[in-house]
Amino acid sequence: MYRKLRLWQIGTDLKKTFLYFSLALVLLFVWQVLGIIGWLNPVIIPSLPTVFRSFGEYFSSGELLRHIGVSMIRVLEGFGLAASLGVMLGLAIGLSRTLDRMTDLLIQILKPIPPIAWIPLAIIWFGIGEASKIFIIFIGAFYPILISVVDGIRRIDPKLIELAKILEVPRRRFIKDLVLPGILPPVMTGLRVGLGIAWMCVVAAELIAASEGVGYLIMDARQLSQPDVVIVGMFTIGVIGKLMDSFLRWLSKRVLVWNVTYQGE
Amino acid sequence: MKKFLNLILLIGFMVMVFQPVGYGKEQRGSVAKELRIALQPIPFYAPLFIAKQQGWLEAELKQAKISVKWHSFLSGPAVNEAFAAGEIDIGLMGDTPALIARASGQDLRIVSITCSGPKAQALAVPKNSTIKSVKELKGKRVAVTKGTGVHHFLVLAFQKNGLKINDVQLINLQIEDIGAALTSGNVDAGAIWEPYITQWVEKGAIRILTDGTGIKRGISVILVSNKFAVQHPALVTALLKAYQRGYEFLKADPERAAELVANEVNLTSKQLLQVFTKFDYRPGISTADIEDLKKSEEFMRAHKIIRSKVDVDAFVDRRYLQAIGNK
Repeated sequence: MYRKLRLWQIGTDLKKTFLYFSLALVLLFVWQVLGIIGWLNPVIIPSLPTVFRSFGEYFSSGELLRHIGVSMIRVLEGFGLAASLGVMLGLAIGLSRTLDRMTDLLIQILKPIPPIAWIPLAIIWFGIGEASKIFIIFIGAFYPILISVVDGIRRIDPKLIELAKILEVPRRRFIKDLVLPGILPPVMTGLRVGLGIAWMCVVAAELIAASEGVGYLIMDARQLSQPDVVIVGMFTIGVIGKLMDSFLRWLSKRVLVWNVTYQGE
Repeated sequence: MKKFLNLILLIGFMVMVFQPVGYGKEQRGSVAKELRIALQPIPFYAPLFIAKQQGWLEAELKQAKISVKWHSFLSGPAVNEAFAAGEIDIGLMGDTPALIARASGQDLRIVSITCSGPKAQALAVPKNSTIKSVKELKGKRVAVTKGTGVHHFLVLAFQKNGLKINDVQLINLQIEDIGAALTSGNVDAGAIWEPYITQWVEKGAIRILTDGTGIKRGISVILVSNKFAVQHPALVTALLKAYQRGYEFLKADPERAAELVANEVNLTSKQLLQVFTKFDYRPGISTADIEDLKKSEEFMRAHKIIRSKVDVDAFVDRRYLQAIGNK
């Protein structure tokens, strides 16, 4: 009985795994079949083996990893800046009604401007070096983080705040023990969204005079009419984006578990 | 079994969806209603700009009820994309982007050389730079647009001065960015071409270290979709005739030609008169041109700009030139 159950469980696990990958596999299969029949114009859609070969070449030569490394550092720098400034400014805005009122209009107007629209100014302000690229990534990641912090503060249980006021909890402890733990869940989400956008902005950022990075790899392959390499770059961005998101999700679960037990004391 | 059937259905559906991508665009244009030409707003194609301004092609094709559509692109690679998408029939570009397109598997042919212009390529430094010779660039930051003709010119210029390409820090920039980078001192030198040379020199932004004289002739080509050319040879020869006529016009009356071309490129007619002297616009395909194409092809393969070999002799199709009496 027990044995059977386990087998059955393995069966459902397999089914789940299969379902998880099925659509992607079907897509690859169709792509391959169309290539074999010769229905794909290689100038428009390269065949699957061509893409695999390019991927293999770029991977084994270490070039792909180098591009990934360069982009990753840019993203982490831009994201790190966005996270620290976003959280600090978010706290300030969230805790001060005056500041909230003052900054609201400006934020509402600046927020919808896509990072790519900042490129011309970024070049003039920061030149064509690393700074302008980090700025573009920063712009992308900043707003979701900022807003998650402000929103998080607004959503803290008013009863707790009331209580803190009645007990005359000092400002410092109020922030450290009530505000910070309270905003953690929405801020973790904000950070996740911010990192996702930061990673997406890497292509836009690397439109600026780059000579390395995954975004550059795509734009360079476009110049050289190599759609297979374009797909390699796109796929790399997609997979890394997914891995980063999975990592942050895992991290936030752990952090939030701590948060829940803490609140339960 | 049912799942299997579903899969077959899905594949059938995908095939239907994908079919237009693979086939539709190629089939379009089998009955020519229009001739679609891609140009870049640079003085390399002056004779055709004259023909465009004068409306010669339109006049000639009017009887056959074929309209002429002129498209402007910022670079050769952009024209290549338009070729790949089936949006154009004829495109003018430098020899390097043409080789890139051919190497990527596009069925294109070079039907004529448009010009050679060694002086239309230059290695420039910021106006107040202390660098006086190419040799001094060792270890410096040099900007170039990867895969362009001047990239090849740059490598050759280095070779001539005993430098290797790895002796400098090469930075891949688009041409407008090279101008900005030179002006702001973000790079120490940049490889550029016309009309930017004339524009930036006159603005007082740059100084020329060396041009392509004795280094690289710098040829541009007329590229056609082979399928289109085979179906409509008369349209290709009509274009070549218009180009030839533009060339003769430019020879006979450069001042008027400069006025006409000034409407198409970002230079004044006065500047253009100077720029014209840097080019040999004579149409044709000479042995020297073939040699240059082969040298470019070798360079591009060695630098991994193209990944497959291009058979230059098969890439060039002289028949259309011969049809208009150009040997």
